[in-house]
Amino acid sequence: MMKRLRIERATGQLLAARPGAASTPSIALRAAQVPVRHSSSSAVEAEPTPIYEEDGTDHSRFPPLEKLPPLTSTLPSPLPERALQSAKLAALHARLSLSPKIPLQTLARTLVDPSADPSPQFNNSSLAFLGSTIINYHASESFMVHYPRLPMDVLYAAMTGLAGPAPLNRIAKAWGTEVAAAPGGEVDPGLLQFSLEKTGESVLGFGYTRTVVEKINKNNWQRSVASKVIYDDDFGQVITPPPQPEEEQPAAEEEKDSEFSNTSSPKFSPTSYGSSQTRELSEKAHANFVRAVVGAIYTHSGREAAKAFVKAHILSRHLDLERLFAFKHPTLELALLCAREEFDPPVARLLSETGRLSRTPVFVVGIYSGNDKLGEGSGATLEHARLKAAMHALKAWYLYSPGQGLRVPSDVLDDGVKSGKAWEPVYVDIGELISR
Amino acid sequence: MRHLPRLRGAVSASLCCSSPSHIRTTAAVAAVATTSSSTTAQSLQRRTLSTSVTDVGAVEVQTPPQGLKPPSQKWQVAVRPDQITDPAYVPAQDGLELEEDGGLDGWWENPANYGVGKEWVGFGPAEKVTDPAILEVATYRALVEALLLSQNWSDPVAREAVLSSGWGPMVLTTTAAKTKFHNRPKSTLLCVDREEMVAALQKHALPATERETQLESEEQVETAFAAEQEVEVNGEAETAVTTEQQAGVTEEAEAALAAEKTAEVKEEDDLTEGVIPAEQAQALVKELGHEWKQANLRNPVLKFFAAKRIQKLTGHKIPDGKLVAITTAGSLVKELVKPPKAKKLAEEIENKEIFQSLPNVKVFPRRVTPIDKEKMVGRWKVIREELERRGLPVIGTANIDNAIEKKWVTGAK
Repeated sequence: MMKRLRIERATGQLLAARPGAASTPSIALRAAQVPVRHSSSSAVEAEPTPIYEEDGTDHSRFPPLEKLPPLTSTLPSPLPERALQSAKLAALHARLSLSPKIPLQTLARTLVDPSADPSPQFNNSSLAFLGSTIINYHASESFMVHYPRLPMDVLYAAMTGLAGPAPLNRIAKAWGTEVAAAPGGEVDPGLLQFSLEKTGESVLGFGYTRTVVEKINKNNWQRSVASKVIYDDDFGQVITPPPQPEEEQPAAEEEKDSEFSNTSSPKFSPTSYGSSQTRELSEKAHANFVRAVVGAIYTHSGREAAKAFVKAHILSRHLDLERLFAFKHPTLELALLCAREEFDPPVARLLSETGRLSRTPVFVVGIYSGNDKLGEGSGATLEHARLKAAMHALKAWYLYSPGQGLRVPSDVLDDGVKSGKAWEPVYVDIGELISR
Repeated sequence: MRHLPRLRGAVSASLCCSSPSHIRTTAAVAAVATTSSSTTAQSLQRRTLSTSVTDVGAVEVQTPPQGLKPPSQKWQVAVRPDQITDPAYVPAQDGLELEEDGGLDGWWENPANYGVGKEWVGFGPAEKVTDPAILEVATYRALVEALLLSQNWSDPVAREAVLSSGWGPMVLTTTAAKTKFHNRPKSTLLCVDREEMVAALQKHALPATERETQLESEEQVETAFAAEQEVEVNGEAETAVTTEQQAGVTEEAEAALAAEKTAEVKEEDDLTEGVIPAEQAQALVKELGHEWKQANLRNPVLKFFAAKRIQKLTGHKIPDGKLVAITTAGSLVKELVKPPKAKKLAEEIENKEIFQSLPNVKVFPRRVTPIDKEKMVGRWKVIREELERRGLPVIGTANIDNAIEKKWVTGAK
């Protein structure tokens, strides 16, 4: 049942400027600054001494290396101007061989996760969404053209394995992205900034929320692949609605009470390290960074540059598709397949065996449709060997590829428009046999 | 260690040799033995190695270097308490609030006791000249003077006069003779009329004309003052207003004269060590051109004289090793103009701005401490907040040091 489109409700363009609110962090900083008091008694007005952020160190012995204005560390993320002074950022820009069209300030923005800075004008949420659509599009069209018979759930798994948070996290780490320990305005802009304490709002999936989404999550209800295609996001994951604001208010009140009672609870809890949740948050932040970089490339350099980047960094990765399959009844499925394709019904034949009565027998079984061998498998028992043979036969069917380096639909925009080459339709399969 | 036999009579330290060889010691002993036979006065005279003959009975008074003020040897005795005549004197009951007056504590830490002797006057100016035009002019002048003197090296007075003179007018009188440079047939430096060169240099030198004008102005002020004084003396019966006016005028004249005198004194000081201004030097350099720089400078006497003259004029001391390598006038100028090498790598990086073009390199003006690294990563605010929450010192150890338990036990504050 279609409910509502899960799109970010407050993009940068839609945010109306609140009267009296600062439009940029620098203006907010200046307003929050303590006014400098000039001594009126002195005849010669001395220049006010430069006031830098008070950070508990002795400024006379160790003058601050970066002359930051006061209250900089209260900002959620570093100011965009600081991006020009960061050596790490310039090195990252060069390491990725990004075009000079992409300014350092944009790259600095891609490193700010919504959990560090909730303002969509300064975090990478919009760029990450844009990048995710581009990456997912190119990955899915690549699979559809090169593996037309891939079952839907395997396709979802393949998408997750190529363009999901785990591989993107590895890509970000391979790029040499360093992480800030705690986000703030004084941090080096070349570090990836995200918070482990609070999760930010960001759009990653485009889909529909189900009516029984809470029960699905709570009771681990099964979802059919067909429903996943209709409702869920590009990776087949359920889209959960954001928490209601009514629930947030009592939580906020509780926090305020605890502050007033002064129970010396730490602001940065020491137990927020090393759990599966923190690893997941870190993975998500790194993945969003990669997506945001793709979004930035698309914004500044265009579609072709973004496609080339995605092909070079993401689609070039090797993914073992055959390991993504999980069959429940392979022999049944193979029988259905042969019936549909009007092949001869599959027959399993023992091709060779050894050590039947020993401790480690090996049976090699082949499944034939008429005189054509569909698949072969070996196992320790006859049943096992037969099942394996059936699985191999099914894999051989599903992993059929017309070739590598085929023309994908987006190639029409690259060379088709100029040369006028029409789109030749690719092979589209009839579909799966068993709905998983 | 070998034990030397004791000798009869005093032996001056200069005769005791420290060599371990047996022969030498015996020779020294023999030498001393021969002299010991003579009278003590004569032996003393002979034993001292100094060439000057000193009076035996006189005590050598060591005169302190110029200007040093050692504490006086005289004792000052305080007045006896029953003989004090000062009515305001009240004897103190304890010494807690008494002031300390005098004493030798910190005598040599007081720079006033060093006097003039501290002001060391070097051969050349204290600060080296850095303007390339002035250096070029100085080199040229040094070479000209060297060449002019090369005809009469045997005149030490002229040589000393030239070497000790500063940037003032040239000491040498011109001669009409033309001297040739020692050069190869290739080099193009010409034989120049020395008179012209000297005249040009003298023209561009500051002092003479300005001094004349100052003297004139001083005379004028003095005459004016004298005239006013005469008026005052004659007009005693005049009204008070006019006398006041005149007094005001005379005061003004006095102030002006005083100002002039101080300015004069200052300028005189400048004149003695005064370098020519940069604009004049640049004009002179344009006049001189570049051909003279190709002159050969192989005569070592000429070269060293010129180097000494350059030291006097500019303060630059060219090391002998570099001088040997310098064979042309141009390379001499180049050596002076070349800026000194930076003493520290950090200075060199800052001066040459080596890494400014590299965006992925950041040069810091001071050592990057561990706290700076924590700040860059954003962890410092967390550390600071946690330490403050626990009441621990953020920087350093506060008053908690290694022996804190011992202090608790012993009760030290």
